[in-house]
Amino acid sequence: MDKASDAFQEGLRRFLAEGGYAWAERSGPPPPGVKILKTAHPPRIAERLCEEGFPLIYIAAVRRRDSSTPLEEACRRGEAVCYVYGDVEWAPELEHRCRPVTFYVDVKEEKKALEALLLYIAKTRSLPWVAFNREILRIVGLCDAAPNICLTEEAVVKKVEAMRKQLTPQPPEPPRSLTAEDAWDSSKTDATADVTAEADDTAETQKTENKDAAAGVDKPHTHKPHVPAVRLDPAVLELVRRCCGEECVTRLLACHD
Amino acid sequence: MTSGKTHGGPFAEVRTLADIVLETGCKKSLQFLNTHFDLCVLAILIKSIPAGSMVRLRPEIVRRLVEEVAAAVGGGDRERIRNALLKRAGEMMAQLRRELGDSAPSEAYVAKLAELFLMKLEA
Repeated sequence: MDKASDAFQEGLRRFLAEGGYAWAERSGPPPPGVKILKTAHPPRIAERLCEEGFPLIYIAAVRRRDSSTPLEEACRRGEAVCYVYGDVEWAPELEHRCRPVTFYVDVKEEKKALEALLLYIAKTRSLPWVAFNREILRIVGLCDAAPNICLTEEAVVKKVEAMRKQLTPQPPEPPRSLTAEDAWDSSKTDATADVTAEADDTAETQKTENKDAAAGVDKPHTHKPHVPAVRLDPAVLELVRRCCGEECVTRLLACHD
Repeated sequence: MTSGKTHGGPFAEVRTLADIVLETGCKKSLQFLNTHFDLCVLAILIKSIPAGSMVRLRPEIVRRLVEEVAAAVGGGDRERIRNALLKRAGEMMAQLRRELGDSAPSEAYVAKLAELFLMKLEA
C-alpha cells in the first residue's frame, strides 16, 4: 500500500511555499542535529502506520555557514546547524519498514524562521510549548514571553515549594476567622473550587469586620453624625414630594433614618 | 508521525510536571490543594491520560487519582474532598469537550490541558 503523501506532508509543502522558503524534499531519514521536540514517539509507535503506507515526515531547518553547500550535505558534513523535527524517533530498525521523507529547509533568519516553524508544528500537531526543546524556545524568545513553558523540573519543584511556604500561616499574624481547612468544613457536600473563592471572600470580609471592631475598642469614642446605610436618591425624593406631598417626604426620611 | 493518530512521547514533560505538582503540593497539604484546587485537578486530568497511541481522558484513572489525593490529605474530610475533586474534574472535561468538540484529535485535549495547567502554575 503506497499512499502518495498524507495531509501533514501536503500542508507542509503549502506552508513552505507560502512562507517563501527554499527547501528540498528528500527520501530518507533525518540528518543528525538539534532536536526540536524534547521527546519524540518511540519507533514502535510508527510500525503500524508504516504498514498502512504512511510516510514518516521529518523537517530539518538548516542554517548553513556556506550557502553554496547543498542543504542535505551541509547537515551530514556538520557544516550547518540543523534543527530536526519528527514525531517519531528515527531508528535503524525502521529502515526496511518505513518510508521516511525529510524536508530540508534553508534558514537564513534563524529566529524568525524557527518561530514560524514552531508555530506551524505546534498548531498542526497539537503540541503544547512545553513539548519543545527549551534551547529552541529560548532562541525564538518564547521563554521570555511565557517563562513557565521553559521551567525545568527542578524549577517546578522549587515553585511548588514556594507556593506551600506562602500558604503556611506566619506566627505573628492576627488570628484568622476562617482558614483554608475551615473552608472545606464549612462547605456543603458539593464542595467545589467556587467554595474556595467564596471562603476567601468571607475570610476577607470577616477580617475587615474584625479589624473594624478592634479599631472601635482601641480608639477613643467620638460622636459621628448618623449616616443612613443607603442614600435616598434626590430625584426620587422630589418625585415623592410632587406626588405624595411634603409630609410624605418627611415621613419617608424619618423612617429611613 | 503521519496521520496524527498517535501520541504520548511529546507530552512526557507535562506529565512529569503534573506529577511533581501532585506529589509535592496537592498530596502534601490540604491548604495547597484548597488554594490551588484547579491546578491540582488539571494535574489529575493530565496524569489520567495514558501515554501511548490512544490519548484519551480515562474516567477510571481520574477516579483512582482522586482517591489517592483525597486519601493523602483528607483525614476526616476524605469524602468531601473526593466529591469536590470529581465534580470539578467532570466540569473541566465537559468544558474541554465543548471547546474542542468530540471529533477533535485526542492530542488537542492534552495540549489544551497542558496550556491550562501552565497558566495555573503561573498564576
